[in-house]
Amino acid sequence: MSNKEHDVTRRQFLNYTLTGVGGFMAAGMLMPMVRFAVDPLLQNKKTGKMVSVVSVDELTDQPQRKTFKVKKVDGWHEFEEQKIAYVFKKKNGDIMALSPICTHLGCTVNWNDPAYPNEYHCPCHGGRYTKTGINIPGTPPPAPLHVYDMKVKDGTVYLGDAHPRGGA
Amino acid sequence: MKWCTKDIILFNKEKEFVDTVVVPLVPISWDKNMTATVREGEHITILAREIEHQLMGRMVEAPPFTYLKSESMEERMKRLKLWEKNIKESGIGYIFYLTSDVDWNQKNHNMLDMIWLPAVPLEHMEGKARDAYLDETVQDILKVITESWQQFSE
Repeated sequence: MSNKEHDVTRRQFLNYTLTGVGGFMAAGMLMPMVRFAVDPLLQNKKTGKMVSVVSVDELTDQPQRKTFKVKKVDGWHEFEEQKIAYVFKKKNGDIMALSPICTHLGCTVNWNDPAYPNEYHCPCHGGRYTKTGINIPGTPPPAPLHVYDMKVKDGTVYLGDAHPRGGA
Repeated sequence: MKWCTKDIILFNKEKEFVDTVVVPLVPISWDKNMTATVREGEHITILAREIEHQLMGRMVEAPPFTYLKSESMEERMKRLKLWEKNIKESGIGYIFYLTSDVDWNQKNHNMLDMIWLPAVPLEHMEGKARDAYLDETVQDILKVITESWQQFSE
């Protein structure tokens, strides 16, 4: 034990070891906490996926009933849900896609029922909406029909989630 | 509305708007015709779910009425009438029974609103064809239901 240059004192050795072990323990505790804190940022968004529904050429100023499927996840269970959209061109040429889910109690409304021409009519409680989905006063629905997120790419209409409109 | 707590709470809150119940009739057997029996039940279960989805604001989809294929028609009817009595007592005006079982079609079951549809082997149908078939069939059933709503409201 005479080779002083390479020797580490007992005190130094203990210091190094304790710092090292302590560091690992601290890291072990902090890492999950940091992971939990930033978790929302790491979640990849399940929503916002757009599905191709109809080609633009098919659209007219009359709402057309189109069905499409979206993937839904319920816990671990993944399944496909069938959705309906009424798609048409507005006067100014903009494309609009409405969700036919009645804002009253969730029934599916129909466009242009013989008894209710040029309106959406809900078979359940007689709710009515104009062509652009605005609820007609005096009928049960409390709000306009929801509007789908929409984008056009290469002449095809893609739809995403349906959202309520501000105001009513 | 489905037979789950969340929907039934809503049902009790919005009772004035809900006047219809749909009961799928699901047969059971364990003999050599088991596949056909299961198909009849599955077919009607899928349709009932879709109908509930489209008219959820005015109807409750009851849990399926199950019965053994070997159970006599009288016995089934007796039990079904008991269901009907219970449902009617809760203030429900319309009850529709959905079935793909021929038993219910052959015999005359007056007083019951039975909607009978032949069981289609959905397991052999692919994506688009299956969707189109279901969509059309559901529209037909919806028509039957909404028409009887209109008849009585006028």
